[in-house]
Amino acid sequence: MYFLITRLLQATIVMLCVALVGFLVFQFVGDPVLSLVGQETSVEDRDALRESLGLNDPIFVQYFRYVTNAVQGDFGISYSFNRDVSEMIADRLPATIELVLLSGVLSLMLAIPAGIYTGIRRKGGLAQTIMALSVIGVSVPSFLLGILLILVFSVWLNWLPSFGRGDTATVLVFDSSLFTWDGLRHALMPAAVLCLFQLGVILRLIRAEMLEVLRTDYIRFAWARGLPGKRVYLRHALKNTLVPVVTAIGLQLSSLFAFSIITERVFQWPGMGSLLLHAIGQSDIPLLAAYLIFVGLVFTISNLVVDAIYVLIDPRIRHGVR
Amino acid sequence: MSKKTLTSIATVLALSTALAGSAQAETIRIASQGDATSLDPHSHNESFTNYFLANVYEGLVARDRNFEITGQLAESWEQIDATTWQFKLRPDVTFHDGSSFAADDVIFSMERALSEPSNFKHVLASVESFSAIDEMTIEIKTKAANPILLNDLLDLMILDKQWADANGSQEPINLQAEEKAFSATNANGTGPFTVVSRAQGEKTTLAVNTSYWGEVGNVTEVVFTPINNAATLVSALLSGEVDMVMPLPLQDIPRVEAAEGVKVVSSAEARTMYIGMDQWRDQIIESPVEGNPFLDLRVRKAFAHAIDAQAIIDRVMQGQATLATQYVMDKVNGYNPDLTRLEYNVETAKSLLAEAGYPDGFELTMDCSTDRYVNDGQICQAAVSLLARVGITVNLIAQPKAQFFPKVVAPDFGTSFFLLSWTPSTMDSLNVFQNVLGTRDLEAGTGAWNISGCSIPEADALAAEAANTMDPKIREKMLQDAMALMVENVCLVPLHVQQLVWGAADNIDVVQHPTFEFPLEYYNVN
Repeated sequence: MYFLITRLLQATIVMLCVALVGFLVFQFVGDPVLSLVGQETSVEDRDALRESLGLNDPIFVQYFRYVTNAVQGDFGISYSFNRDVSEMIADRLPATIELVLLSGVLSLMLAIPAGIYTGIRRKGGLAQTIMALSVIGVSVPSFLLGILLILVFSVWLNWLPSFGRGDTATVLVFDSSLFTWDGLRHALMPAAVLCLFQLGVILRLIRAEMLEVLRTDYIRFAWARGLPGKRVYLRHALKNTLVPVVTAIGLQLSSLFAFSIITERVFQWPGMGSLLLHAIGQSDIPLLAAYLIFVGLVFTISNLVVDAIYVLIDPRIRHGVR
Repeated sequence: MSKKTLTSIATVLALSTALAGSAQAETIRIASQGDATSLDPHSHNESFTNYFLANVYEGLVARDRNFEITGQLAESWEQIDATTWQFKLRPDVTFHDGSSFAADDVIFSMERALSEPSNFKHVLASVESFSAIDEMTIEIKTKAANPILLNDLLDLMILDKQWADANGSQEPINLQAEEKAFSATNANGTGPFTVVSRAQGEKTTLAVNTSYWGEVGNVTEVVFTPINNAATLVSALLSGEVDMVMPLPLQDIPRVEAAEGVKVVSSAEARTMYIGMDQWRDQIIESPVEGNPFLDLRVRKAFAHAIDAQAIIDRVMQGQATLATQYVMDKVNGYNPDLTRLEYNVETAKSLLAEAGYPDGFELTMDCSTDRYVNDGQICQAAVSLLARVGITVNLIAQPKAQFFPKVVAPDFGTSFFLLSWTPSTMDSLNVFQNVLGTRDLEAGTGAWNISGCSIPEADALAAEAANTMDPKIREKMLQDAMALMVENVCLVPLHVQQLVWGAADNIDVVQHPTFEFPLEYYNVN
């Protein structure tokens, strides 16, 4: 309980700092009034608008007002869309979440077995090939990969749609494009691009940890006891690689939200990332601030979850052994 | 059966399917780099939003297929005296929700356009008062004689009073208002297309208005998708997922030209690009030079001689622009056909600089946006290297528009050398004199975009006179003379008139207007 309370307190402070930094940065993104009005609007009208939006108040007054409202779930009205920011985020969030989920699941499903395999058979031909491919995944920028995929699968082969989100269907209460064939076809390429980088990183981490653990004495003892290979690799070795791997996966998966900005842009995926890019272009401060807070929240929560998972997988933490 | 008979049977079959097809729904899928920012026709004065909405909402007057002003919701009009106009409204027009159109809707829409949150107050700036004479007639009184009242009214869209009242949308959204704006996400106009569904930034579907009063081509459905990334936009056209893209990035023109089934559609846009030079400070800013060299006409002329606008068109604009001789393009009223450019000549430029006391040139800073106009950043880079040939060292600040505009516009006008452009929304050069070329007087609201601070009182006087001159011939002459004065004084260095370049499937009849309008009622799918 004590553990939980301190963690939550820390998280709150982190969130307040994120909001503050965001606010200071936004002083430099440009004048929102200019993107709000047309070229023929008079100087007085511009000044009146600036005043009525509260943009002339000192920055800390603006910050305090913002945090007070945000705590009550009110993120203001987007300057460029004239709509509630919370409503806009609610509109766009499902698209990003499904992309992040699909690519997260894909990368874990591929990375874990591949990481274990390359850790065990590190000299084999297949392992070498996997490692070579993972270098491409880590090093090719996602926008380039995305455009290459579009060129090959949309323009040349005409197999997959090049942009947008497909039809959605509702299963239980979730309305998602992952439940339709058309939706999956649309999601495949962006999810693959997002997945590839994660795949490379997680695979290499698992492999390195496996190599490390397989050299340790207790693994030799396990072999000496004549245990079957499956048990040695999965029970004894893999379980002890998990602490650093889970940390990395937690951070990687939350950074999928950040990476999705570029991927969403390339595939015109109507998620949070494209919303952020629009907001930057229009100096839409309420939208920018809400996005920043949202991403801060995702990172904070995923760190909390990672901490909780430690407790489950590592008895030393659970029992307070140092 | 012979081979020939088989072929003819196949031809007949193919023809009959084609014929059957033309009677069916014709969908046109359009992708553009931006989305309409709102569905409210009075909230954002941004050209794409305006012209997207012009397919849904209508004004009293509009541009026809040939870009001439014609009656839309006003069937006819008559000028009673110099300042009084009467508009007869079109009978039997209904809004998309079925309610009928009448004078109270027009009066309501004009009041709404003048309300505090509206961005269209300038449209009615010359108007003193307006009233309904009867159900189907309205009268507009202007403050002084206004020869271009019709041009001004082009951007005034008419909403349904009952619909707005019922949905709390009497005013375009007020940003401080806590409730969201119904009119920003819903539309009810009289136009040829109705909004069927709308997911902002994602997809907007329009369907033809089956009870439209006018004629519409064979397009029955429009699916509109914004695609921000240029490479994705072109791929979507090439893979046949969309029928039209706008704008087409210049570097992709050869690709689209070489591809089967798609074409490049281009025509001159009403936007003139120019380079501005500080003519109001005693000391130019962000430069080590003493004083302000630009106050000397010879220096301004030297810059005009040094900047090879044709090279910029050939290299940077890939030929998709035409040389500008003045600050408006030839379709704009008041264009002066007798004006010519100062020719590109390095030697002339050098000797002019030497005469003005700068034989070794000087150093200064140039401000430039990178995401506002077609290839704006590269245009500036080209200008920088051209000026280096005459000894002018330019430090280029290339910045996103979100940083560029706050720096260079009122109240600071924080630049002494910059690239900018202007589109006169009325297609009349008076608009350019009022905003860009006229002496800066912020209290009177003129010259708010006169960033160079150039001031030619004679031209101001001519423009002021033209503003109230009803005779179109005399008025045009005044505007042409005023333009000649500005050009003689090298108020700005004109560069080029850029082309609108779109990509489309071969079977789409595209109608392009110089203002970026895309009136879908004139489009056809073959």
